[in-house]
Amino acid sequence: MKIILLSVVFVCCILIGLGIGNYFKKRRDFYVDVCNFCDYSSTQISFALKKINEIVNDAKCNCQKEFFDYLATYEKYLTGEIDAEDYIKATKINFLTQEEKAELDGMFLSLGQMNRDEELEKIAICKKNFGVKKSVCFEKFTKYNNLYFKLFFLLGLATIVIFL
Amino acid sequence: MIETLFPQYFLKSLDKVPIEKVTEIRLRLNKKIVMSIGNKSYYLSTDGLTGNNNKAIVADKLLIDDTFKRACENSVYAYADQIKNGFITTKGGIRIGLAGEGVYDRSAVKTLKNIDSLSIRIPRQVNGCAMPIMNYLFSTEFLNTLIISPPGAGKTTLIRDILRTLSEKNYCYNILLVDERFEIANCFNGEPTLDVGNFCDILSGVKKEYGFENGIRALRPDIIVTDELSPADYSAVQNAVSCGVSILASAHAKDVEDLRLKDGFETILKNKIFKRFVALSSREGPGTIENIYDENLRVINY
Repeated sequence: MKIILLSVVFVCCILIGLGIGNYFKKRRDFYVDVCNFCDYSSTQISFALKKINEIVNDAKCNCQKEFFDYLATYEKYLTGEIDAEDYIKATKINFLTQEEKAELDGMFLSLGQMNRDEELEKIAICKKNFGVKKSVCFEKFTKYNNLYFKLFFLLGLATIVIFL
Repeated sequence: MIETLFPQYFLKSLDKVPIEKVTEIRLRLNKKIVMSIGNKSYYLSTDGLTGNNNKAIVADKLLIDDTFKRACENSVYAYADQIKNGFITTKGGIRIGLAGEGVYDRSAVKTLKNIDSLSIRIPRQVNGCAMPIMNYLFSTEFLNTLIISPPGAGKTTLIRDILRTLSEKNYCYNILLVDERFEIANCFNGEPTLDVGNFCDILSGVKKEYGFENGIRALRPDIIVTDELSPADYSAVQNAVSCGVSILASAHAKDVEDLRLKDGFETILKNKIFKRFVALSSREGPGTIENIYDENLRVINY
């Protein structure tokens, strides 16, 4: 009975460690996708004047699940299925802070409203900001992903040793 | 077609409107919404179309902004060239005239901002409207023809049907359509949304001078078709005719007398470039054919 309980505790510690690592991984991957979207949309607007709905549709083919879901909801906003308020509420991303979410929503809500030069300028500014976030996320992922896993692994082991 | 243009909350107001008959919708900021069927105008109310302006729905800024955004498919930058010229053509061939504030770059209009008025014209193909005049437009070959009418009297619709009829009757002319404002063929993404027959090469969104000059060189047309000729286009027309190309065009004028008085047209009339003039009016609805004239502006028995 004791062994089973301790095994459960050990496994829980591993899972917590993995979960925290996963948090940093998701943030990193999300900002990679956002920066790729900025690059892609910038190129398509600059050379082909591709429309926003086509750009979003293309971007969905090559991104992680969280950004895919975000774009899918954005498409509903573009078609008028939902308004801006509902779009902001529906795109909950639990690994982003409120400010980060607002910054992201701000960029997407303003897409397609300006002429080509202004649009490209706006995307370039957003890409710069998101680029900084992406770098920070990469750093934190490298630093903390393994660290938290090892910490909680050791915690789990320590628990076993102490109580055994 | 029209359903994709308006936001959801506005579509409910159109439930009781015979939208298939509507030819024009006017949205003006904080003014009552007006819809036209033929040459009659009505206010839009929650009970459908009405002559009573007390029940009319007012177009607010949100409706105009939303409609404009949807017309541009949420990509204003992709329509920048059209917006600069004061119109956009949407999917389905709907043409929207824009009014707002001009933004200048040096001395040229760069764009319009603060759009406060949308004039939504829904093109209607009227098959057969050209049949009564087709025989008058030929001798051994297609005669240079100028269609004259005031605005909204059906010039563009008639031109479109002439093109369609030429194809239907297997007149295998190579036709170059210089559709400067996307009104005749209503091309969207390169594809005509209205029937202009099988023999049309379409140059959309280009100035007539460019279309005439480059089209003659590259596409070897037998007939060049264009809309809303102005005196500035005279030399391009003259050049085309001297190359052996026939012309089908239109011009804004109340009637032939009005055309005679228009600046610049006296040369066209004096040189007898056009062999046929077809005068339209809205007397019995748009497309009423008043008279057909020869190159001397004498009425032909019609």
